[in-house]
Parts: sequence; structure tokens; C-alpha cells
Amino acid sequence: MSEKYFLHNIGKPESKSLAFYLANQGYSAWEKVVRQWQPAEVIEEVKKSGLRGRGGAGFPTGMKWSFVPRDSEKPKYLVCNADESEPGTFKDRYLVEHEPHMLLEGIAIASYAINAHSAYIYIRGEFAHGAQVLEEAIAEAEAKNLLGEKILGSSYDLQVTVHRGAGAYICGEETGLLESLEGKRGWPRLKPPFPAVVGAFKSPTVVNNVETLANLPLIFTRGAEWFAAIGPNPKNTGPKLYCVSGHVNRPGLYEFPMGKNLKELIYEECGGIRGGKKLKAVIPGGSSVPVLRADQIDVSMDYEALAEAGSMLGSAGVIVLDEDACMVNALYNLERFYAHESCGQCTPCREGTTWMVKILKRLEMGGGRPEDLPLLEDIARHINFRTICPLGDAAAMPAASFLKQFRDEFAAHAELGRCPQRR
Amino acid sequence: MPTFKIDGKEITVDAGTTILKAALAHGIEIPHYCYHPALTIAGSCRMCLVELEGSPKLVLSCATEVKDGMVVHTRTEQVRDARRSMLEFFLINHPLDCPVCDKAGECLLQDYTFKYGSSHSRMVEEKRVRPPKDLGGSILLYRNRCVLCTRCVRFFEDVVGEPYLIVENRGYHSDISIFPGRGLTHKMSGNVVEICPVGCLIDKDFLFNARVWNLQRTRSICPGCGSGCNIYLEHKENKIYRIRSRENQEVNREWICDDGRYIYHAFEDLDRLTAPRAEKEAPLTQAAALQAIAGHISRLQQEGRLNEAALCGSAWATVEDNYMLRRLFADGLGIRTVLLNAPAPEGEDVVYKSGFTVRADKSPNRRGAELVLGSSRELWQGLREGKIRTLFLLGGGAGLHLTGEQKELLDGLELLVVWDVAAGDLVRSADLALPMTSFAEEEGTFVNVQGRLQRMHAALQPPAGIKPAWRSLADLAALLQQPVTAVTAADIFNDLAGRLPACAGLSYFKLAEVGVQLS
Repeated sequence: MSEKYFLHNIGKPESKSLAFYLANQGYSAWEKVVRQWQPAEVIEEVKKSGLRGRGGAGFPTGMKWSFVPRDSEKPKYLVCNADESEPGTFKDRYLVEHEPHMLLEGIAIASYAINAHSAYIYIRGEFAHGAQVLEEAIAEAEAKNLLGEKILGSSYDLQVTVHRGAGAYICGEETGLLESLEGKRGWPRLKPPFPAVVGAFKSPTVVNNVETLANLPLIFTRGAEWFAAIGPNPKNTGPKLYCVSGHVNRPGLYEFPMGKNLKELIYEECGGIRGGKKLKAVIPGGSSVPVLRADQIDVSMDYEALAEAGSMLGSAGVIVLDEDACMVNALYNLERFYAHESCGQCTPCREGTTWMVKILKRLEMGGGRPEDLPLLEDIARHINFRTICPLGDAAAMPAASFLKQFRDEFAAHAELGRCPQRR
Repeated sequence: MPTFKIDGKEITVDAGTTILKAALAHGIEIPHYCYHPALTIAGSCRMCLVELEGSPKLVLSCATEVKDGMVVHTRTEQVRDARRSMLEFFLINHPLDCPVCDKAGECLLQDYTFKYGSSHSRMVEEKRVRPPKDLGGSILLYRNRCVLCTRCVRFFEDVVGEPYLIVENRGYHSDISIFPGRGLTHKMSGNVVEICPVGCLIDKDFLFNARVWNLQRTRSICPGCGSGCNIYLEHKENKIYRIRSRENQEVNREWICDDGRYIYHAFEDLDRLTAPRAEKEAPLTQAAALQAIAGHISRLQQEGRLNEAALCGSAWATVEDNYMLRRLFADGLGIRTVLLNAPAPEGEDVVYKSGFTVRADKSPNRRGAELVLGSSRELWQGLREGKIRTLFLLGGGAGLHLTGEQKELLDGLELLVVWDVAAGDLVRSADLALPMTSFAEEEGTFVNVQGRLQRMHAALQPPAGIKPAWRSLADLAALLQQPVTAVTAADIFNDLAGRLPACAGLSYFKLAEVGVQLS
């Protein structure tokens, strides 16, 4: 598929306007759905498309929607997670800023499917521009009755509200997001109950990522079967955005079908490693996922293949590290992020992340000891799977994988008592 | 009713019961900090993780409901490892200052570390050091010892219904704090010291005063209001060091208010009446005092003026004291005018979210006194009619102040005999005053506003020569050759149980620890 769906309008600043979007058959899927489709049919179609959540976990979208109890008398909510903060990830930001109507159309379809009349876009606080673009887009769509009351002559109402976060990574976790949306401290909730049953304001709620929702107009324009045919296998379908950063010649945002080969992506699309250096490591799915060595990157970027390779697709935030990168320093940097962003609710994450940072700092700056390596591994193991939300896992996985994959480098630091590259 | 297996033991529980509750109810300890039966589930301390067959991760026993057929293990290596690691996380920044920590001896961090923790630390980094913070009121926050279980935060939300405490900052810097500009002066504040599982929230009133393992615990009832909250008196060397709540789901659940928590101070500096005394005269012996009363009664009997005498019970005194007063003066001598000395309610009852109530009636035994006295009238109303010339009055309310009118009413009497704890206004008006035991010095029973009869035990030895009022009444009865005998409070109670229909069938030593609801 050489056709670009998300990035079709790159370089056209007018792409964010309603007029432009309408001129390119925008909202035709929404018009069809709201006039002709039953909500249950919408859910079935999305299940058929094989669309999986693009926020990182890869949960089948149609199935997530089907968990919303139909007979509940409570209002239902659709929440768009636009709190993109995973290091190495910058796909949702592009969609919000440049394709706001694509997102709004997706939000409308998803809201209709779960019978929600209120939708919230929870947007990362730092995305001030994106929030403004969305506000303007919503006003434009409402003026054309694409959103609002009795949409396009139907009996369906939908109000979309933009809610800006205050700058916390944890509010990208769906239950932390819901707490924050309700005006509380962004502490993730215990599950069950899942948001589909008890979500925003104690009501059934679906939380979907920006890119996930932006796929919906495509599914309802071209059909689920067409969509499902894109990608390497029926479990990994549709177009996908890849964020490439680090030591490549052409870092940036790329669109390919699901299952792009990682090696091809780095060496062909991104022009290989900067300055003709050798590749050392790749974090393929945002900073939380296990790191791959250079010899492991001939892999299809889909959920299953990357899991088999020992990592995860995550948010498809590909971070490339060349031979000059110090892996101890890289991990130190990552763990500082997680320690800073830990909400503090669960013991292992609150205490363990900062402890790891302190140890890594010694290993890198001076004072490292051989026993720090098993200690770091123990701490990571003691955090992993033992917290309410996945932030603990996200902090533990890189530590465990860096230590496993680049053991010699860590051992050299411990032996010398500091980073060999430092003087 | 699901049945599940835990550590090989088959247990059937009510639907909706969590693994942790089921385990605790069946004597299987699962360590926990954030879980508290009266608070919403937080699930954040991660101490109560257990192994559930079929689950890839350890599960949170405080938040996982038992399902039929579940198989749970709490002692596997995986569970032990999780507990050990959690304790390691709690302790890396903990100051390990148990020798100077008031919580030592009743600290869950200490206890669990002994049971499940590691004996050495692998932490070589600098610790997070945060100075203690005065939250205002009586509470200090020793931030270095906090495990961030948020029990204190949730207490104000769930039990009191008025948020006071918050978590401030994020992650590693998370900290318990109070809304800006406020002090922790809420009437329910002291409870957070009790529910704090570690030495973070400390009561200034108890600070550095005693080691908890040196204290004796005595079961008692709070005398502060009509609620009849169940309490522990904690004391050593004949001095109370603190009062703690004692669980009684029918009355106070697990809480007490600060009025009750610190009430023992009100009895510490009382100007005690230590020996009988006649008006403005040197102290009498107990025998001489009783002789004087007996002489007066004989005179009234001879002169046929017994109808000018009245007895007055007390809402502060025990059921037994009041009952003895009635047995002697009403049943024995035939005095028909019965009065009751009880305070007027102060404002309205204060009811918190959980239902915990601080009563406007500031006496602990109005219902009990009414019960044993039979029909009675309010003391001052009775006196105002002017027919009463002799009055036998039970005091017991520490710090009771009389108005000018009340003093005049008492001064107009021919003879006022008072039993009281402190040498206060009542004693100053009395022609003859006899001492009686104070709060915590006497065993007996109270009946709370809901009609629940509850027993309390004596914690302190009264000062030399001071007896319970019932005892000097029994001595007086003997002197008057009345067939009213009692050697212990139990004798009195068992006697009244045989005579009062409301208490029929009750026996002093068989009174349930949670009391008995009277019909």
C-alpha cells in the first residue's frame, strides 16, 4: 500500500479546515453511519476490520466497544485519549494538529456505536496548539450540523468537549485519565470494574486512542474487508503510523501498513544510521518496551512478531541508538522519566523507580559496583506486574531488557565504577 | 455462597467477600497496610498480593472477590518474595528510628518486617529525608515514616465526610498534607493516629510519654456523652497515658471523638474530695459521716417528716450507684420523691457520614439512671417547688458549675448530703459531703442513649479512703439496719437484674463485651 491515508495531506496547512476535509469526501462515512447504520452493525463492522487499539496495548477495538452494557440506564461516554506522552511517540499530535476532522469523524462513529451523546477529548496539556485546532474544528463541525443536536437530520445528538490535561504521563493511562477528567488527582483505578462498565462519572465509558479513532472513517468508507486486507495477517490490519527518532538519517513520522519490517524502516525509509555508524539498539514501541539488539531487527512490526522477538509494538515509537550510545546512560535517562512520572500510588513504582535512578546514576557517573547489576534486576522484577497500572511495568521492562541485552556494557561500568566514555 | 480453597483450607463465604476478608476471618494472616475494613479499597500498598491459580500475576487479595472454585496460596515462594520486596521498598527511605518512635510495638511495618522482611538493607543511596510536620491540632506528621497507605486521607472522606487531608506532590515526593490554611483540629482527628499503620501520624498528647508495651489496657466506656463509645484505657503506675477506641460495631464501630480521647485529662487535676466533710468544718471520718446521716434520718422518721426528704440520682454515676441510692432511700426507707441530676443537652447531636455520632447529651448514663430510679423528675425543677427540705444527692459530674439560682435552692435546704468526686460547687453547698470514686476508678455499667447496657472495668486505684458511692451507701444501709447488702458491683447488678424487668435474665459476669441492648 503506497497510498497514504493519515499522511496524505502532509505539507498542506489547510488540511485542518472543514472545507478541505469535506472537499476530500470527509464526513461521508459519518453521514452514512448516522443515517443508515444501527449501532450494533457499526460494532460488528469494526470487529470485522480487525482494528486493534493504537495506544499501545493493541486490544481489539470492536470488542472493547461491545463490553459497554446496552441496557444500562446511565449515560455512556466516549473518551478520546490524546494524552500522547510516551517518549519516542509523536503520531497522535500530528493527527490532532493536521487532521482534526478525521479524528472528529472517528469520534462521532465510535460514540454512535456505543450510544454515547457526550465525547471528551482528553488532550495532553502541552498540546496547546492541538487543543485550539480541535476547538475550532468542533465549532466548524457543529456549525454544519456534523456534530451537535439532531445530526444531519437524524435523531442522534453528540457533544464533543476538549479537556486539557495538566502535564502528567500517568493521565495517559486510561483510568488515570478518567480520574483527571473528573477533576481528581490522576491516580489510576483498580480494575475491575473496567471503564466499559464503570468509567467516567461512574458510567460506561470507552477510552480510545487518537490513531485508533482516526482509522474509523477509512473503515466505513472503504469497508471492513478492504481494511482487513491491509497488513501481514488478520490479527494485524490497517494502516499504521511509525514514529522514528534517534540516530537515523531521516527521523520522523512514517505511514505504512501494519507489519512494516523494522530493518527496512530504519535502513531504507529512514536512510540508515547517521554518519555511517553501526546500529547498536532499537526500542521499537515507545520507551516502555524491551530493547532489541541490532541483530534482532529483521522483524515485522506487528503485535505478534515483535512479541516473539521479545519486545512489543506498543505505540510504534521507534527509538534508534547507534554504536556510540551508552546503554547505561540511555537507561538512566529513561528511568529518570519514569521516576518523574510515577504517580506515587503503588509502593513498588513509587520507591523502586527512584531507587533504580540512584543506582544508574552511580553506575554512569561514578560509584558503580558489580552487585548493582543483580540489584537492578531484582528491583525491576519486584516492580513488574505488581502495580495497579502498567507504568510500573513500563519502568521495569526497559531496565530488565537493557541489562539482559547489554550485560557486558553494564558490567564494564560496574567494573570501572563509571562510564568508560566519561573522563 | 462461593467456596474456595486457601492454603489447602476449604472456605465458604458470602458472595462479594474479598480474599483478604475471608482469609482474616479464618485466621490466615495476609499482611496489609492500605486495607482497612471501614474504608474504601485503595489497593495501593501492594502488601496483600497472593497467588491465584490460573492468574499470570499475583492478585490483590483486598480487591479480589472470592469466586467459586478459586484456589489461592498465601505462603508460596512467589508470595513471600513479593512481601519481602514490598517491605524492602517501604524501608529503603525509612529512618529506622524505632527506638524513638511512639508507634514501636504496635507498628505494622515493624511487625511485618519481623515476620516477612529481610534482615539487611541493600540500599546504599542517600535516603529521602523530610522533616516532621505539625498538622495543627494534636497531630504530628513524621513524613519519613509514611507508607502512603492513604488510610488517613480516606478516613476523612469515608468516615467523617469532610475531606481534610490530601496527598501532595507526585511519585517519590508524594506526601500526606493538609489543605492550605487549615489545621488538623477536627473533632475526629485523633482517629487517624490509631489507623495509621506506621509511626507517621503521632499524637502530641502521647509523644515520648510511654512505650506502648509497658501500658496496661482496660476496657471501659467513654463518659464524655451519651453515645457510650467503647474505649481502652491505657495506663501504667496508676496513671492513664492515652485512650484508644475499642471496636463495637453496634455503637462506635472503631472510632472515638477527640472529646473522648482526651477526656482523662479532665479528671487528672481535679480538686478531689478525699474524705467526708461537713460544711466549713474539718474532715470527718467515714464512720462519723455515716453516723451523722443516720442520725438525721432517725430524726426525720421520729418527727414524721420523711416526706420532706428526696433522693437524687446522677446521669454521671453508674447504674450500680444509682440503683443503690434507690434501694436504700426509696425502697428501704420509703422516701417517695425521686429526682435526677443530669445536664441539659448542649446544642445538637453531631452525626458524621459513617453514622458516628457525638451526642448533645454530655452525660454517659442518663438512660441507666432513669432505668433504675424508676420515674424521676429533674433535680432543679423538683427543688423549685420548695417542698423538699432534705436531699440525698449523687454527683459525679466533674467540673459541674452551679448557677446563682441553683446555689440558692441548695442553700435553702435543711440538709444536703452529697456524694461527689471533686470538691466543686455541689460539695461547697453540701452540709455533708462524702467522696466517691472517679472515672476509671470504678467498675460498673452505663446505659447509652440507644438503650445499650455496657460494662466498664476499673483501671486505676482511687486515692486512699475513697470508695465507690454504692459502697458507702451499703455501709449506711447496714447502719440503718436496712436489708440492702452488696460486696461488689456485680452483687448490685445481679440484684437489679432480678427486680427490673428490662434487665431480667442478665448476669453481670455474662454481659457480652459489646454490651446488651435493653428492650
